[in-house]
Amino acid sequence: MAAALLVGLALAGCGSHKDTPQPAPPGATSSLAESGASQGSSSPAGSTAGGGPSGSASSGTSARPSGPAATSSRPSRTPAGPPTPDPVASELDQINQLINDINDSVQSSDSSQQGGE
Amino acid sequence: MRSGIRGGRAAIRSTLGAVLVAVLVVASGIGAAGAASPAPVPGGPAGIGVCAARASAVRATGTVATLRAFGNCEINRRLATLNRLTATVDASKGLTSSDAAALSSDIGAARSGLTGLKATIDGQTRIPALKAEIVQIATRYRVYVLLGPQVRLTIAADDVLALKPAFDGISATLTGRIATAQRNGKDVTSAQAALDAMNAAVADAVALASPLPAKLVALTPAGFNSGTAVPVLKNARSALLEARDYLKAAAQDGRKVLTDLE
Repeated sequence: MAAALLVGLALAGCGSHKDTPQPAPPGATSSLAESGASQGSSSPAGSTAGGGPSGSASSGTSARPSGPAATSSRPSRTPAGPPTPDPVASELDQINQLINDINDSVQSSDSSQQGGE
Repeated sequence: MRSGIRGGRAAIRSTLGAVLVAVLVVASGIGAAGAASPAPVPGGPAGIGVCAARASAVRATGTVATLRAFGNCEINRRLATLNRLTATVDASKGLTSSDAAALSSDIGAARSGLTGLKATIDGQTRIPALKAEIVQIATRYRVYVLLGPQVRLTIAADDVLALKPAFDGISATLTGRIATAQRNGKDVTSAQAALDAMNAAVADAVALASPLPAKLVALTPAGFNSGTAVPVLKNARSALLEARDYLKAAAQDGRKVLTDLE
C-alpha cells in the first residue's frame, strides 16, 4: 500500500517536471522566429505574451524575500523563480501575435478601401 | 444688356460646375483622405482633407493656378502613401520575394506615373486638359482603392502561409509528447483529437490563403476601372478573415493538447 503511494507520488513528480525542460522543435522555433522577425513590432508583443523576461523578472522580484530575516533563515537556497514556460505554449503565444498582425493587415485594407479614390 | 449679364453669369456658373464635377470625381476619394497630418494610417489614405482647402479654391475660382495646386496636392498625398507602402513591403518578411518584387514594381510604376503626371499638370495651361489630368490622378493609379488593399492583403495571405512551418513544428512536437504520454499509460484520446483538429484547421487556413497572392498581385488599375478587381479584393478579404479564424482555432487546439497532457 505504502509502496503504491510512493510510486504514485513519484509519477506525479515526473509529470510536474515534464513541462519544464522540453526543448522546442528546431524547425518550429526557427520558422516562427523568422516570421516573427518579419513583423517588426511582433517580437516584443510575442515575448510579453509568452511570459518573457521582463514579466518574469518583476514577478520574481516581488515574490523574493528581501529582508535580512528571510535571507538568514534560508541562506543556502535561492528562491525558485517562475516556472519556465512550455516552449510550445510560447510559440503559440507568438503565433497569436502573428495572427493579430494578419488581422490588422486585413482590417487596414478594408478601411483604406472605404476611403474611396 | 440684362440678358447679356445673365448669360455671362450662366457661363461662369457652367464652367465652375464643370470644374467642380472634375474635382469631385477626384475628391470623392480624396475627400476621404485625411486629417491635417499627412500620415494617419500607414500606407492607407494619407491625409483625408489635406487638399480640402485647395478643392475649395477650385470651387471658388476655377483657374489654372488653383486647379494645378489642387492636382499637385493630390499627387503629393499619393506619393506619401506610396512611400509608406514601400516601407510596409520592405518590413514584411512574410511576403515571398516574388510577391514583394511584384508589389514593389506596382508601387514604383505608380510613383513614376504620378511624378510624370505632376510634370504634365505643372506645364498645362488649358483648363479642360487640366481637369482631365486631375481625374487621371485617381483613375490611372487607384492608389487608395486598389494598390493599398492589394499590398496589405497580399502580405496577410503570405503571412498566413508563413505560419504553416511553425504549426508543422508544433504538430511534430505534440505528436511526440502524445506518444510518450501514451507509452506511460495516459489516455491520449482527447489530446490526439485536439491535435488532429489543429492540423485540420491549419490545412483549411492554408487552402484559403494559397490562391490569393497570385490573384492579388495580378490586379491592375484598368481592372479596377472595369469592375473586375473589386470582387477579387472582396473575396480575398473574406477568405483571409476566415483563414485568421482557422488559425486562431488551431492555436487554441494546440493549447488544448498541452492541457490534456498535463
